[in-house]
Amino acid sequence: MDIKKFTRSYRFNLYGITVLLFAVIIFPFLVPSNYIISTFILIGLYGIVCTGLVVLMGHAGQISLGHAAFYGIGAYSSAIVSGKFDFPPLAGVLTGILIACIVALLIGIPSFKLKEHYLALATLGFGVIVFTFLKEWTSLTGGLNGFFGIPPFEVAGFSFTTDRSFYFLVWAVLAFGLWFANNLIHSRTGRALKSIHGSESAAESIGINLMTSKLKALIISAVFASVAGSLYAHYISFINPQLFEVMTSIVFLIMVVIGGSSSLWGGLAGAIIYVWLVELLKDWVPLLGFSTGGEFEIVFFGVLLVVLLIFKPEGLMGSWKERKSLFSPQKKKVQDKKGAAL
Amino acid sequence: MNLLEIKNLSKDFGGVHAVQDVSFTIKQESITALIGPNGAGKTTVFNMITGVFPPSDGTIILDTKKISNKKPHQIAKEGITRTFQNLQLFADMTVIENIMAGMHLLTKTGVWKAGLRLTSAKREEQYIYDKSMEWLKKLNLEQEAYLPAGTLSYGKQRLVEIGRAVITQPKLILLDEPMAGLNHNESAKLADLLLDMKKEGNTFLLVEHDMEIVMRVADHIVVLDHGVKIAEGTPDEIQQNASVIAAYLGSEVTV
Repeated sequence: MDIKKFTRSYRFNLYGITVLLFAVIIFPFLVPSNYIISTFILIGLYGIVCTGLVVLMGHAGQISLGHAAFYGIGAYSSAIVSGKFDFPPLAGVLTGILIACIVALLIGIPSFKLKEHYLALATLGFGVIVFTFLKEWTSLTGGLNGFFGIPPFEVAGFSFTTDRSFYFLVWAVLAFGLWFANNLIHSRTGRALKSIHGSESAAESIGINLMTSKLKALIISAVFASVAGSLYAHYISFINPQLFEVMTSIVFLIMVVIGGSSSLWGGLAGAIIYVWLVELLKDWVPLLGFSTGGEFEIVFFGVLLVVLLIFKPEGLMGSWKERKSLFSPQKKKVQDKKGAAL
Repeated sequence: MNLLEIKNLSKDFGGVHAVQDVSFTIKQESITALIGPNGAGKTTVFNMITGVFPPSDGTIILDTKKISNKKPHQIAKEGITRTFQNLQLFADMTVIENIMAGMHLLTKTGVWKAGLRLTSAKREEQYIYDKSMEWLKKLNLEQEAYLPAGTLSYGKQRLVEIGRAVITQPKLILLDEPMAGLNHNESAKLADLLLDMKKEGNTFLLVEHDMEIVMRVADHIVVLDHGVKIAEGTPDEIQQNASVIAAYLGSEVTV
């Protein structure tokens, strides 16, 4: 047998990314509505964050309740570096990545010394700290009034001022992120992460260093979130600390759970569903006689999450995988051989 | 030649002396069995050798190198791998992925090379795959290669776990009750496999309750009772040893 069969899911994902790229290019010509394009920019940004979370949650099995803070670190780094100090936007993105890496190390090292889910607690606290920090350090961040006048993203003299150009930028970054994550998942490092998820003591027994492996996953997901945050800041040109509150972290988590953390596509699927449901709710809820409000959103997604965890706990993309393996020829062959000893 | 040397090993849990002053050696290309009644401290000895917890006292020397107080993943790097009493497979991963994960120490592709899929990463992935497939054939598991490991029969899951531990060709392999949960036929086959692997140059230390199997495969037996080594020797010597019989069956009462 050659490796072709083993790499089937890897290649399947590669085709998926290629198809996605084509769809992304054609889409704005089919749907010229600026409103829809702007929702897709948001989906792309959330998709980047959630793809990072898929690596962290679905593969390394670690839960973060603070990814909005990494998103915020990226956004404020870009805002301050390019908006306040007039450096090129790329410098802001790189600053964000650097800070996100350092912070991920600072949170990761102590919390990974403990077993089980202490990362969730540590990141929850970290989210609150970052929020307070952004709120109080007014001379640098503008505090609760927000940070105004972030210049548009610019690279090699080309400035992404229109929604359409920005849409292409975000989805190109997302496609690269998916490609990177796909490569990583189907590699020695990815297997090490999955091993940790499966059994920590067994992973150690074959020489996998739990600390460094988990740190790698946390750093990768932090970088994804930071890059998305930087792009977000350049896109909307005005940010305030409330955008990066703990609730946003939970929203990211909801997206990943809805989409399914075990699949490469779970993050993107979750982002699409979340953003579109929010948009639809905005239109439909007033028809039911309620006045629109964020509270309804919370109730709706709460119920959705409960229903999903009962019927499809592995998330929407996860269930596809399940069904595929049900009809795979491999399974049948073994059932025929059932009863053969050892 | 001695591969592993255990000197005056002790472990206290609070006031409980789980293991006291145990010493024994393991020869290269041999099968050593660690036996004793329940609670004798066998698994505690295992856990100290593999670095799950450090010994309270004493040293463990592998190939003239002191390995006591190292962490589990460092011990694996030194060349000791293990299986577990209650299976610790990566149940959601396929059989071949489990075996491939076992190759971790023999390979080195890092995040960047893997994430950008450089040629060296691809080449290494092919190498890992080929070597794992080779082992699956050896273990007669190639039919199940693409099934989630958790769906296999218990006996086959055991084999996968052993495959994952031996694929890096470590210096010493620890098997914690490898026959537990297997039927007679399965354990006989596994015993044959162990003897074959010994001939190929592997060294094993196993904890096992199935005395028939122990007597058949072991070259050397160490008997623990209440954390103390009460006997050691060849299977024949152990079967004749009065204190071993006393530990297992109780001593004859003289009136």
